[in-house]
Amino acid sequence: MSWEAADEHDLVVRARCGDTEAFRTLYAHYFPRVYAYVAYRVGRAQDAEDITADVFMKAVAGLAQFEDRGAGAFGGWLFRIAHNQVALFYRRQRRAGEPVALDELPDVPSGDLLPELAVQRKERFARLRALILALAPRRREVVLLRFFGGLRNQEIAEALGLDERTVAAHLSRGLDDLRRRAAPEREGELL
Amino acid sequence: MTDNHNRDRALLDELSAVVPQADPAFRDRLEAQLLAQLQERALHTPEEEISAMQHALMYPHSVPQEANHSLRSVAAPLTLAAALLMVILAGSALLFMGQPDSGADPLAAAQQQTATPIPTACPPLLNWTERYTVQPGDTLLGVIVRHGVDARLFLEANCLDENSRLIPGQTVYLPLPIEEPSAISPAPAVSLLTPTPIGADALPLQIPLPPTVQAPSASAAVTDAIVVTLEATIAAPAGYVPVVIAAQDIARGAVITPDMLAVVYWPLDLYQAAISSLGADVEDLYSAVEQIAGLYANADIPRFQPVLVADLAPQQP
Repeated sequence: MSWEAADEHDLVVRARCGDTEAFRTLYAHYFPRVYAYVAYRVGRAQDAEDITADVFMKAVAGLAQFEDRGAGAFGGWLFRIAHNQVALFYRRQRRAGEPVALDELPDVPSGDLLPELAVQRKERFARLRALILALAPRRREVVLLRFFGGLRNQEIAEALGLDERTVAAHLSRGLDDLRRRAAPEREGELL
Repeated sequence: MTDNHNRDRALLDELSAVVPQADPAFRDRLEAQLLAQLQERALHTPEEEISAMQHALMYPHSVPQEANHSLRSVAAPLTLAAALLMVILAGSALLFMGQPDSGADPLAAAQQQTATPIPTACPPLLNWTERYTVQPGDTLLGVIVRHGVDARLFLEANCLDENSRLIPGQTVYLPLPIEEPSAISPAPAVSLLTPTPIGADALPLQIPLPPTVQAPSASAAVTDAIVVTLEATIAAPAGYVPVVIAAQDIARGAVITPDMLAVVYWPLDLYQAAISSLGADVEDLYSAVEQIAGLYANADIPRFQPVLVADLAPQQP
């Protein structure tokens, strides 16, 4: 089912008035995306849960102040909160880029039930995360918001305070960088 | 070309295949908490909002006293907020409260001229004749804090209660700027160098601005009255928290200098409510000017807004 801006606007208005079903729909749509974005940024599952909870708590607290400025505004606003919360986390923790133990990483579902495949998935996540985190900060943010936040360029522009053309340029260059960095590992069958 | 395309395809497949997923139990637990918070905060159904807006248009000085709960949680902080925010202004406002002067309030004259009964009796407060038009995004607490007024008097002067909701376009009344503080009954001053613990029953009525603070323009005297010092060299009194705010409008990209900032002291309870209304957290605020000076503004920071961590960047944005 496509996620239409008009529907989202309606859901936001209703959620603001305390409509729990509208909020559930928004939550079901955005929770996995916010979690995935945060998990890539911080790595550790426990930290990702804490930050994701903070993001949604702040979103609910600030819903009355949210200004709907058109398509993409809500997603952009929500991920701006997520972006700020992650920045705040690193400001407090000062451990950006620290390696994270495998058993502390979040689950990466694969449809396979074999435990060894689940471990392989986690390892792939860890390697991909390291590659993405090595990108220039803007490119890293745009790539994460695009592929794991599920945001459109317009929403990313809203979240990061950029214009859409700049977002498109960062995305293109970010993917180029990622492909270049991934190539040696892919050739070595590491990724 | 084909190789590149294949590599891109493989990369995108890789990205879409490695998506971390939260523990479903955590997701459900958080959802339950959020729904509870949402219901607690929900002020009005849409019908009530329409009704409130119609009412406000008919009676701009009177807002329906509806039973809702969203601001109930900040009612207590507001009471305490009244304590500190009364620091300058309230000193004079309290002195005159209750004294008859119907001519001072335009509402009083309007009430006398109209046969339409005003649903809520709202005795005019002397000096509360400055008008402010509620802007989109304004909240009750935000207006009170930004204008540095006594929360209890603000509610009283505007026929509001802690459950009321401001509607864009609505006019609210604020106290007139204090132009000649000397005309007011002299109040015990607090030494900025040796702060005295401030209790709710022993509030200073006036805190003098230190010499380093330039007196702001008369029109902004009300809000400027809460500016205490540009230098966070004094310890906050017990129960109060220093907060760095913008002393002027700061444009995005500007290098932050100390003269752009000021420190105000908020009661702890108000502090919690205020940062929550900003969608911020305790760590998002600064307590001393020197933590900020030299950084760049990452966004436009309006005058009197607390400076948030997210507003600043070490490099020019």
